[in-house]
Amino acid sequence: MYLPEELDYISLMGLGRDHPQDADAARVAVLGFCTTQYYAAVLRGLGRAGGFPVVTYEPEYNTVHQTVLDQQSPLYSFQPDFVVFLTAVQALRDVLLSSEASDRAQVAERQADELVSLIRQVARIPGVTVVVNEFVAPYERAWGNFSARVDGSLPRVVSEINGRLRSVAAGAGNVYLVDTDYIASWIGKRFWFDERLWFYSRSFCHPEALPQVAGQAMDIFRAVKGRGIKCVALDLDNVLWGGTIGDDGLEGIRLGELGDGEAYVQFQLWLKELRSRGIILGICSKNDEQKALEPFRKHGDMVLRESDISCFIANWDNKADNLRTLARRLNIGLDSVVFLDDSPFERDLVRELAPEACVPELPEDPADYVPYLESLNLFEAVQFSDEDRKRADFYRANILREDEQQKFTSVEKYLVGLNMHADFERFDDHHLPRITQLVQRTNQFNLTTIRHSVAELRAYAEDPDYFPYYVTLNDRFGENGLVSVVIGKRDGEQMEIVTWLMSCRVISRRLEEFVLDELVETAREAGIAELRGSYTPTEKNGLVSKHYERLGFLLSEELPDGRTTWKLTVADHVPSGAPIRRRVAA
Amino acid sequence: MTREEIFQGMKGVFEEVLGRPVELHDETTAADVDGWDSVAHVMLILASERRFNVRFESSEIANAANVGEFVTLLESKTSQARRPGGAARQSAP
Repeated sequence: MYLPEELDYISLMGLGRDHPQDADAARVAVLGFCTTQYYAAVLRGLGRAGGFPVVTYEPEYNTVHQTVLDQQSPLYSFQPDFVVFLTAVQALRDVLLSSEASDRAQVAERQADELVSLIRQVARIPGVTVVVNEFVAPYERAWGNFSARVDGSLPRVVSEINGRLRSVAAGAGNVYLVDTDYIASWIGKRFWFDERLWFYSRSFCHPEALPQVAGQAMDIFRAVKGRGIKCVALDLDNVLWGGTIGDDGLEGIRLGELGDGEAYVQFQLWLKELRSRGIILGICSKNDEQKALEPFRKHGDMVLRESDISCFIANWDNKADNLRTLARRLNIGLDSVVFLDDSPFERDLVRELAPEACVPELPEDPADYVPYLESLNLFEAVQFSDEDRKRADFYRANILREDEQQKFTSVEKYLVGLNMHADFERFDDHHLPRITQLVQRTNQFNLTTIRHSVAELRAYAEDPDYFPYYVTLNDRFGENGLVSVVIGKRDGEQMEIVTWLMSCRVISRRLEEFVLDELVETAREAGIAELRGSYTPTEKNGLVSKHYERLGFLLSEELPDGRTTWKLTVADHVPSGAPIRRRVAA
Repeated sequence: MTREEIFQGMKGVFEEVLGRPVELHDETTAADVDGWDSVAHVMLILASERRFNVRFESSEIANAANVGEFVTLLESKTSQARRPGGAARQSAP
């Protein structure tokens, strides 16, 4: 998350002096093998500055083991959303170097085992996400460059423990690592390590580095909560190429070997890599559209092509309005868009008029674009699936569909013309990562917003009392991927719809009606007489407040907290006639 | 830098770290100032290192018991720092 540079560690600690009062603040437990106060204060400061408030819990100094092992400890009553483990290579060093050389291997293994078991224990807290700082590679090398080859040497032990941490994270589903060594190297280990502060106050790094370290944990929190950056909206002139396409023409712009043209090629390659991991690219430029498209179509050194851009806006309107249009057309929140423009005027205008968008500075020299933007860590990922790889294509196809829709007078005719097919299948292992992702991230079309864990979702798949279904959709523009999840639970002759959610990219396609048809059919076959659904309002799901009403359910109860419950008699249900055909499993 | 200039600078450091104006005298100790705990103490050391471009030795970190001693320490350091080889900590980029 981009923050103004003037927010250094001292001002952040000031901002984070008190815990926020927000009821929806994220609850973060900070467990450290070092002092945690500085880190926790900076984390709270970052949360406050970045609109992601956090309250923290820290056990007494040096009591991590007792706190985790005692089920009655305040850690568990705190009910953390996130637990952060702060590691300190200095602490590891002190233990390792004070043991006999012959015991080193054993000592190292015991340290690793203990840490891993603490992480596993904490990861079992319902709904928790665990973030672990990897160990920073030490500056001490008793064997010089040869050290990493020596069993039991500090550098070797650190790299082995980090390896263990990576396998724990890979196997867990709710454990993420902060690559602390990357941050320390970037800042410079000469600045990172300050032994005076380790001796005096058990600080694992110079506090100057804390905004980076805590900031990257914060980036992970945001990504887990589905509040990360989804789209890069780009200006064109002096961003993707040097010069002005309108004035300099196709031959005059700097791109490739001409002048600083290579820097723009590197920047485009960097963007292309982001696109291939699922970040959407959009254009937001003051230009004549045909002229703006020319380099994409005709310039031999362009890396990005028209097909890489999910939404292309080039006109003379103000950029704040254009960004809103872009977000609306892509059906994403403006707060998930980062806007890159070389003009300080445009950046300020957007910060002023579209404050939800993330608008970092951009260095003067295009050669600094990538290093600077990388230093902001804007694109944190908490998982990566085939679905992500294709995401930018999905969004592009969506815009094409929308353009097509404008040609049709009747929406119904348009939907029929889409030739939609859908899968409606019980959960299986293969689809579980994407199902989990949808369950964790979907905010708008989500009736109950229950964030089931991977383990729970897997358990439903095997439980005959559960009806856990995923839905995929394809049409003549291509695959939309796995876009909807519905989970029913048997309660005698009734089925409680625990979860019903759908990706916003397939809204207004009558897919929810198709899902209901299939669900009713499933219920009928299982001898169920009545479906019951409920709507739990959140800040973001107003879209579906009338979902059950629209589908023909009857209101049974309106609770004081705004929750409504609904029922539908299976025998009364009339198939919707939604123009979507179920694909038969191969 | 005069003692008075350093004293005024220290007031700025306290304000920066504690987030509010504080009344300081040479005799003021941690017990007299709300919020001057061990965490704030380290921050005061680091913030004054940054402001005066000096570096405290390990032995000095714990020793500055009252404001006057703090200022005296800084006085000797700022005069050292002006000599070539004076031990100022460069800030991270």
